[in-house]
Amino acid sequence: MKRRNCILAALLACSLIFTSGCWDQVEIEDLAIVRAIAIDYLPGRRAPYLVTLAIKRPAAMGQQEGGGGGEQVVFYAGVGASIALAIEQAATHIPRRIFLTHNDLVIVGEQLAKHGLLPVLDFVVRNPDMRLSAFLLIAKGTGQELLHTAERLEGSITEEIHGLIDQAEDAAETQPVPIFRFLRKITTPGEEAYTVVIQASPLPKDKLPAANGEGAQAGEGGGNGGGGAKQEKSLALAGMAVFRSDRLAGILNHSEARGKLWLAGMTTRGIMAVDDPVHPEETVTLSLTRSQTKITPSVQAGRISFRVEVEAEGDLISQSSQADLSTAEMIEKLNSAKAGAIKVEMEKALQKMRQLETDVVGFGAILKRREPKIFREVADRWPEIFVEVPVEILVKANIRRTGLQAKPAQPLSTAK
Amino acid sequence: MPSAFSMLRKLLKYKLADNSSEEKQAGCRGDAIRQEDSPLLEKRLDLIRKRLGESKDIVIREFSSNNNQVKLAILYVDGLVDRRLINDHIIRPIQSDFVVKNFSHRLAEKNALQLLKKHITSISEVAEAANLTQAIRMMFSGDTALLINGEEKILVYSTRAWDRRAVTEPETEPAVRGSREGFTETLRTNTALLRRRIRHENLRLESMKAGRRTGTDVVLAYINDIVNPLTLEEVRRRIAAIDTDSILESGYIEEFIEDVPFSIFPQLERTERSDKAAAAVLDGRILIMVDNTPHVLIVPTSFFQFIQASEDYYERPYIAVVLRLLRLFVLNIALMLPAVYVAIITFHQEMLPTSLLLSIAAAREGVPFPAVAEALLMEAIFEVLREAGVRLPKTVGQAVSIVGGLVIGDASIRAGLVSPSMVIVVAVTAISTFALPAFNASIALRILRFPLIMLAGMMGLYGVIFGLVIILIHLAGLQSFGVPYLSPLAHGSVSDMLKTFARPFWWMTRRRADELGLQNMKRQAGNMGPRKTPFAKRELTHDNTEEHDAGKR
Repeated sequence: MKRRNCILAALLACSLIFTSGCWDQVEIEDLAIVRAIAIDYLPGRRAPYLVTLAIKRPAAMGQQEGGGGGEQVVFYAGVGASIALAIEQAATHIPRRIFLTHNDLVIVGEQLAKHGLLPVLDFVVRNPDMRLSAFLLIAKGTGQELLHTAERLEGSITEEIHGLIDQAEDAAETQPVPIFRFLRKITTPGEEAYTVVIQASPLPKDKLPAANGEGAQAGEGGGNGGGGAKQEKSLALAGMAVFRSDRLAGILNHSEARGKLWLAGMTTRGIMAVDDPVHPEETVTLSLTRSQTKITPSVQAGRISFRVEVEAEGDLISQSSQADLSTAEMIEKLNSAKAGAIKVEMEKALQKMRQLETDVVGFGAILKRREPKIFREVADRWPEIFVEVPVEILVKANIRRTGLQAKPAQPLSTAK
Repeated sequence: MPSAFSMLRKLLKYKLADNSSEEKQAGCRGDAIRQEDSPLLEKRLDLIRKRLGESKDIVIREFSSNNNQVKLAILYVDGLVDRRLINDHIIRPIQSDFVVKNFSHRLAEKNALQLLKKHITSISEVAEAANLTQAIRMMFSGDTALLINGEEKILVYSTRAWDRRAVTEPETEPAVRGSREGFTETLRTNTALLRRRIRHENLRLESMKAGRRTGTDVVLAYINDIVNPLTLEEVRRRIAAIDTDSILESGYIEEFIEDVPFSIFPQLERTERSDKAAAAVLDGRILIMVDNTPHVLIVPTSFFQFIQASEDYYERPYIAVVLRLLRLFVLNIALMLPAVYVAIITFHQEMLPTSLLLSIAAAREGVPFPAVAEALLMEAIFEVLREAGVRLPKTVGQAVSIVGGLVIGDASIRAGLVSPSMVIVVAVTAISTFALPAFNASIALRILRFPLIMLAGMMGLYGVIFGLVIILIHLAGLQSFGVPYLSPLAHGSVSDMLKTFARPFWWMTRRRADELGLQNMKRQAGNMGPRKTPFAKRELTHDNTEEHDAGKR
């Protein structure tokens, strides 16, 4: 009896396998592996969404030894009244099944960002294939144009963008944000979302005539000086897009973006320049190795205020004068100069945020955590209140090391 | 319905019981009763000639005693005996008075048996066979029968000697460290190898016979005061119940006595290594040694013995831990790597890292078969190559590996028939199969791989897990002589569970495994930890140090 039942069960199990078939089976070579989606908004049209899919061609990779295998990435575009419809339209041209799970770049055109990101977020969250860990990038101009920029170092433009994002995490000048974090921010009371801006800018060699030497390191402009007639451009992360609700409120430039990161306590690496304490016309470059930010709200007689304390550690990495900066006294001076520079960056960022009326640091959220009752009273009017709230900034900087040498080399002929 | 089934089962049981008892009688006593016998030499020899026919290798030599009082005959199988022994120590003392004085002239039919046995012949091992059948049976093991006219009993001398293979390194289980003495085809040699390792009065070598026509000797080896008597009784019962005409290999016995005959997994461990066998006996297990087989069976067996090698116990324990975990990993690879690969690249492409996905996709570009078919094809080709390699003479084997490895492997990739990634998967799987110490366990894995690949091709990872769950259920249901197959992991003491993966230092190994229900659990004294001689005393002479140690103990 036992054995009969066993055989029966085994037969039933087998039939289960064979009757269900392989309905969702797809061979790997039949997939159109999407590596980036650019979504743009065309105002005034009935089908305003323009979706560009960057699809990787595996064949191009395999033929590396056999000479040019063609483009590594192929673009397909479609327009539609919704993102899904636009993709559907693009799909009519694609001979393979669109495979979105390996897409980790969602590039949104400036227009769409201004119009509102909710349709994009809705699509991403609902679609089981889309990853919430994909990065959300705001393109200056349209996303489609951005994707069509020629790649330089990497094999394809999508890899190039990836590389930029990986690097940005080290550089602490701006911060790429995955979609899930963006979503969390726009749904948190007392906080606004932000993400990184990406821009196609002229190549460094085009900048040369303007010639300001090596100063570009210090986190100044991303070089938005209008490039010449040259078509060749390269991509760069160019600041931080800040949102009011789901709409683009404005863009912080590099130093403002870093100021924002100081406020939020997210600076990890990077370098900055301060004036030489001995020869003010010379520059001393300092690196940032570690920092800590503490924001404490305080409410006194109904008046809300914040106090931001920053502690930044770093090393001296170069100086252009020959002064001995390794003495305690000099280090102290450098420390205060550095603290001052950081404070300026933070104040600039704060000022811009107030101007744009968007609390991307999340002062409101901090207040809510510490003083939930008070926040509840002001929650509705928070954006207006935020603009008025006084923020006291205290920076403490520390220079830990001076690199491999303490004093700069003193050439005999020029020694003072 | 259920009652009908139970009735049927009862009926079957009854019939089975009936059969077995009947056959047992026939097997054990039937022959003896039926055969004619006579104490008279002439008649007896006629009977023998009739029974044995005209086999050239059976030698019958008639002769008389020195005083011509007793007629005798000697009976042996040429090639199985030491002829010089027979000539010098049986025939000559009887025929001549010079060898053993004062006895042969007293020979008469009445006292012949005792006189010959006790005084005249000089061979150490003598037995008395009660009748002709018994004597003939012993003769075929290489003994020599001495027939005495008028005497019912037959003297049987042990004169066994035949060409035997030397004790060599066990080829199927080589080890870097450890004994290189492997078992041979000769049972006596094997028991001697065991005796040499365990010189204790309680090592019992219990003899049984199996196989009606082959009359194969089977020896149960165990240590009397350790072994679980119930298990021992069960082993005896199962072997005694075997009623077949031939036992040519221990595999026959294995199939007759295992608990779940239809299982794909081996339920008895086998070994060719004498040290491993000795270790098993000392662990309280029972060895089943079968004549003409270098492979000795070990009962009871649990699944995890298959990931243990004797070397684990000789080298530092740390490496044993690493190797056992590695083998466990390799076991999983051997079982399911191709299936998981197929499942992931046909159903779950999102699970791969993007760059891996792209390179696999690039490799598969233009491959004509779906991944399942590709995997099945490549696995099948590999099995063919392996089989060809095993069966062919060594000189041709190389040619096969060149054709198989280089031509098929390389050419099929170049021709775009299979993808390089699949070749890698199959190769890794193949090597993993060989990395398992137990060949018989890897057979099961090799076979199960195919259904798993099919399940993967049809249902993806869901199918693979489905298959694995079925395998696990099956494994959990198996047992070997009352010991659950998955013990000590499935149930057992914590220390036994740990010992499955990490063998302790020898001085920590105080107890034997709990799962066997042994009589004697204690392996050694409790205070065997390494003891340091105090530094100052190391300067002492050799003698003094020994005394010091002895005193401390």
